[in-house]
Amino acid sequence: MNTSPIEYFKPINDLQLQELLEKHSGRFTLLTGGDFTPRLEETRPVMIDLQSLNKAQVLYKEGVYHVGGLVTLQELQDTFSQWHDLVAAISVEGGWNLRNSLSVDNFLRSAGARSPLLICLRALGAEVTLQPEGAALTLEEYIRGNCMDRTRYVETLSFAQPEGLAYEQVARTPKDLPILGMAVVKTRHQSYNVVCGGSSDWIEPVILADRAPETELLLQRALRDAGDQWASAEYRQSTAAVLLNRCLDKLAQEVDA
Amino acid sequence: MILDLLINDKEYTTHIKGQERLLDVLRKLGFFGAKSGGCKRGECGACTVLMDGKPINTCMFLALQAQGHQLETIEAAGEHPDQGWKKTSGFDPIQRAFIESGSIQCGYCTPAMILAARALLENNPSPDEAEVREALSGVLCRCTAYVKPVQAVLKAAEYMRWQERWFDPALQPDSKPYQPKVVQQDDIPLTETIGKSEVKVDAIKLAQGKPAFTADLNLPGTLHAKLLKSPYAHARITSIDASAARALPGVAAVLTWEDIPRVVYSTAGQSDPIPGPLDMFSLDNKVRFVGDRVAFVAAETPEIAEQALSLIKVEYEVLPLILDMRDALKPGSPRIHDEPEYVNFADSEPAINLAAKIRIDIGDVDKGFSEADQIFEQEYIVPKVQQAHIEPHVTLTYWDEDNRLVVRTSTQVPFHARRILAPVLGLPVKRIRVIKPRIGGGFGNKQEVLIEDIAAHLTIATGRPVLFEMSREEEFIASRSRHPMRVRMRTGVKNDGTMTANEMYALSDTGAYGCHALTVTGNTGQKSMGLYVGDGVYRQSPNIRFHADIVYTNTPPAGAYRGYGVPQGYWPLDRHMDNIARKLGMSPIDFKLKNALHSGEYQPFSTAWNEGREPVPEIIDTIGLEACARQGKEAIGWDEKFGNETWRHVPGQPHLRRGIGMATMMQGTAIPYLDMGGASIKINDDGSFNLLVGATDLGTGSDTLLAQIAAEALGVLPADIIVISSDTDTTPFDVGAYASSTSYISGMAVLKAATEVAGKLKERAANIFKDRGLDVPAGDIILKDRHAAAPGGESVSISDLALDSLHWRQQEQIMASASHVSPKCPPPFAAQFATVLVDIETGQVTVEDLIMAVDSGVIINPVNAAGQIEGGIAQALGYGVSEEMVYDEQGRPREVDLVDYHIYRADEMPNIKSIFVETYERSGPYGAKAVAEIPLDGAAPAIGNAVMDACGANIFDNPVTPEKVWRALQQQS
Repeated sequence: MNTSPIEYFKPINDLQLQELLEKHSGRFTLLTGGDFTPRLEETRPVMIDLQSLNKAQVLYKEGVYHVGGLVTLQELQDTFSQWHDLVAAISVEGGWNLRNSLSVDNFLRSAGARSPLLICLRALGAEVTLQPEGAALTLEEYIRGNCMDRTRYVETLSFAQPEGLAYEQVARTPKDLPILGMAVVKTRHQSYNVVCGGSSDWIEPVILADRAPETELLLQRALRDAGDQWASAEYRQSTAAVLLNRCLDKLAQEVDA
Repeated sequence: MILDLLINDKEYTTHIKGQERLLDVLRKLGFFGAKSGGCKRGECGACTVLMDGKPINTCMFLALQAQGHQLETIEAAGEHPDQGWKKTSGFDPIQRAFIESGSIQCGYCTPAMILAARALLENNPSPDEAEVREALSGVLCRCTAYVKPVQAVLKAAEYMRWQERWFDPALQPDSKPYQPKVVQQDDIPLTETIGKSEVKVDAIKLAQGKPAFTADLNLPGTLHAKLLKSPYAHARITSIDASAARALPGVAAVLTWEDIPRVVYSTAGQSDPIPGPLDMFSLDNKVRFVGDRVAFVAAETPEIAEQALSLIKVEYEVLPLILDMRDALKPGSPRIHDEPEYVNFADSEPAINLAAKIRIDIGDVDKGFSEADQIFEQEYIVPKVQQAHIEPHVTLTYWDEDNRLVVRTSTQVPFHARRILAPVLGLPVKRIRVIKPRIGGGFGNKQEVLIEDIAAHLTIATGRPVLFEMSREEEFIASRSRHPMRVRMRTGVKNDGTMTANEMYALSDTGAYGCHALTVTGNTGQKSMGLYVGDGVYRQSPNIRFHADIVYTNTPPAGAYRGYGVPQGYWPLDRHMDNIARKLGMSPIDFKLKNALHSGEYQPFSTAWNEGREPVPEIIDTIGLEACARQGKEAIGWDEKFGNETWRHVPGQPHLRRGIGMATMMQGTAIPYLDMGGASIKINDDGSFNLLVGATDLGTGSDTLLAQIAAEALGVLPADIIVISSDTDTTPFDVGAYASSTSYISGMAVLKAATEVAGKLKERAANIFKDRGLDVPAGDIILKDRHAAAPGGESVSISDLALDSLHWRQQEQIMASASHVSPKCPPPFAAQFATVLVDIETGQVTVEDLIMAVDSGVIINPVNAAGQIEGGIAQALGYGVSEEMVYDEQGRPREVDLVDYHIYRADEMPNIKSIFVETYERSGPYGAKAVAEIPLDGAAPAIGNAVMDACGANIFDNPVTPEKVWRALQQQS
């Protein structure tokens, strides 16, 4: 942790932010809300706190949600309160005070392959826009290599309004992180994005055209090497088929309803 | 830099360095209600405050980020209504409800819970239970199972609605706490205070977040200690260079094994002589597990100390390691303890990695087996689990003005700590003072002199105060845990269900050091196998064998954990008994009760074993087991559910099955002829009393029970008893909080001392009555309602007796001291019931109900006792379904935080209920036996039995995780 004197700035508009970023280029750390794993060992002498900028909003535009990087998990849960499975997934991430503390930006930096919310966001095919350079990355790209850089932040996390989202998990207790978690998103193109998590390593997403017969085979293949200290690959392969059917049934019921 | 914070509507300006967290700054400013759980990642929520009305984790925010926000801490919630001439508006309704409801055990998470509740009730004045649980979901509690905190928040909501709408005293909600069911089995004498749910004596300060804990003391000039830990499971340190660390500005001391005396000792906080090997050094040139000690650093800030650790250069010679306990005794295995200073105890043999060995044979076991119609044999496995108290281990050491070392520490064993530290530090006992403030949970993990020596060595090295606080990660990798075991059961039975012989072999893994190795594993057999003697002729002459080998491995040391070896016994034993009953076609309840111990019979192990001392046969007088089973059956609806296929199936959910199970248990109450507690009582001018005890309340409420015992004997209110506990300089000796001994042993010491004081009060009252012309023998006077009363109604107040004795005539300080050792260990008994929901496609188990009926003798404080049962059941629930510590092939832990080591949150708890079946145990104070440990024993096997009942999955390897159930079902199909 840095114990030497630091300079702290809290810009109140994008212009001020821009000036600070230019002035302190290469010397700053961005503070983007309550932090799950703050990189306090970093020794950059300048801290730029983004909380007074308007980065904690959820916008819906042309069928796409844009979630600000400083939106907390609780705000995310409140915004999507009708998405019951997403709410359930967020509630597993942590209790009320943690959800009030943790921003989307910091969540994405710290979440691992066992994270229920991340499983859902991956299934939603989310993308992130990073500032200050304005780069757009898929969530998959971001979480697998770009998320630890403290000199840029997630300005928005975006995903299209799906036809439906279903999440199921197997865990030791109702609010434990999953041994196997699965989110299935039915897209507006009528395909299904299936994302599994719960193991120590990332499991590749599977995209299904429909409830096709090869579904199980695809899942088996995706989970072939998914054994770790938490569960065997064999167990995950078998259970994934069960969870997939439950998710697809839920989505079918949603459509019926 | 300068920081401006708005806290509780007041502006504070302070200087901060670098990147300080909000939690640390609040505590520096004196807001001690925000606690550290050691995680700094928002895992436990003990650090919660309100920011702009919302609960947040202060460990997750930099202090700078809180500028411009409104912060609210527990210190603003409310205060004592009566402060001398100043009257205040009193406690916040939520504080009041927490105090009244018995919600506060250790109290470490209480401020956080109260603040979370406040945020809820501000926006939702009429929450339902689910909403309350949701609000508390981010504050982990290891003591209460959230039962009473949830009740408290609902009650607070009632208070607040009442205040807002009516304010009519006649309509004020009932302030009485929810009372557990208490059933009297024996005739029990009438009492005034015993049996009443008195408010805990420490509840008020804990509800206010007062600085009651070890780390809540900011001594000027305090250094911060950090520990360099081994990255290897087994290695020799070939060189260590601390010069760069020592040269770092702000570093006050770096200590390695080369710098301090090499004194062999045991960290086990037990009586002298410690019944186990001496096999540890403060620092050694060998490391024996990942996380073992390598060096100590003290520096001006924790961050500098951390940085210094990274500058210490260590070279290791990595040695072959043992991780699987089954490998430890194999010929040719690496030797973990080869140090010449090693001191054996009993049968320990370090050359073969054997820390302890137990061989107990009662009756003629082989003959018993030969008389059996059927013999059942099975191996069971129990995991390593962690106590997970929310307050980490923490110690502050400093030299006082008399050059005596003061050790302010979160310990269950202050007197043992003093004795054990003395040779390690090279100080005589008389130059060490151990002070135990409030403890934020311990559950056995603080029955260990685990870190006191680290801070103390650094204080000796620097001459300055040193604070050492373990991080959450260190708690997992470098503290203690429950011994994992592999247990083989072999049981002979007649076809009518009579047990003819019972045999248990336990292979127990003590990890790298042998602390508690012998005694924990001894309990595994003694207090589980001792419950079942067989029926008929076998009842008079039971055939029981318990053999155990306790081995060293290169994993973190095991130690004491609430239940102390007994939960490891009941998983195999009760699951085995349940399986036998099913195979015989008998009801598990009938089979277990048929073979269980009856009143008036010997505890069979008392005839054969006594933790390495001479056995003393003991007859058990009070056994309420059958009544417990009856009460539990009724409460859970056993007769309607057991074997009922309609109930077992869930309509519309073909993949779900319900199951019901039960377990019967026996624990212990203290260690006979060994555990000793002392008490001193003296009267004050106003008729109040100081009660000084060395007993150690670690959140259990024992200080309150001791106050109730004293109050009952003295005819005053518990509020008139000021409990002082514990300080090795000022309070009498007590072995400390373990073995479920405090209310029984220390309680008897209090009762003896209080009875002596009561006698003196009566004598003085008799003299006063004589002056008034009444000739009343002292023996006829009763003490009640703060008065000494003669049979005719004449009375004198206790406060007048106090003034009379201290000032008016024949002055004397009315006081007495007493101590107590018991020749008995009267066991509590219990029946634990569980219902579960099993997903037969995934193997996931959801526990729905846990109901426990307990015979703990007379219940001194029902709400407090219920809190003990509920919290214990919650820990046992984790043992049953989710908690375990797993290591990779290099001995590195999987669990280093409270995310992967998941303990239950408020919003996922099953229904938990406790029932008390009172028996009158004559050897205990007012008929009491122990209550604190027995709830750890039964939940896991009851859940295992319920899973078996639900779907036929017979799990032998605890905990019952989804994959194990799935595999068992796969094998079936």
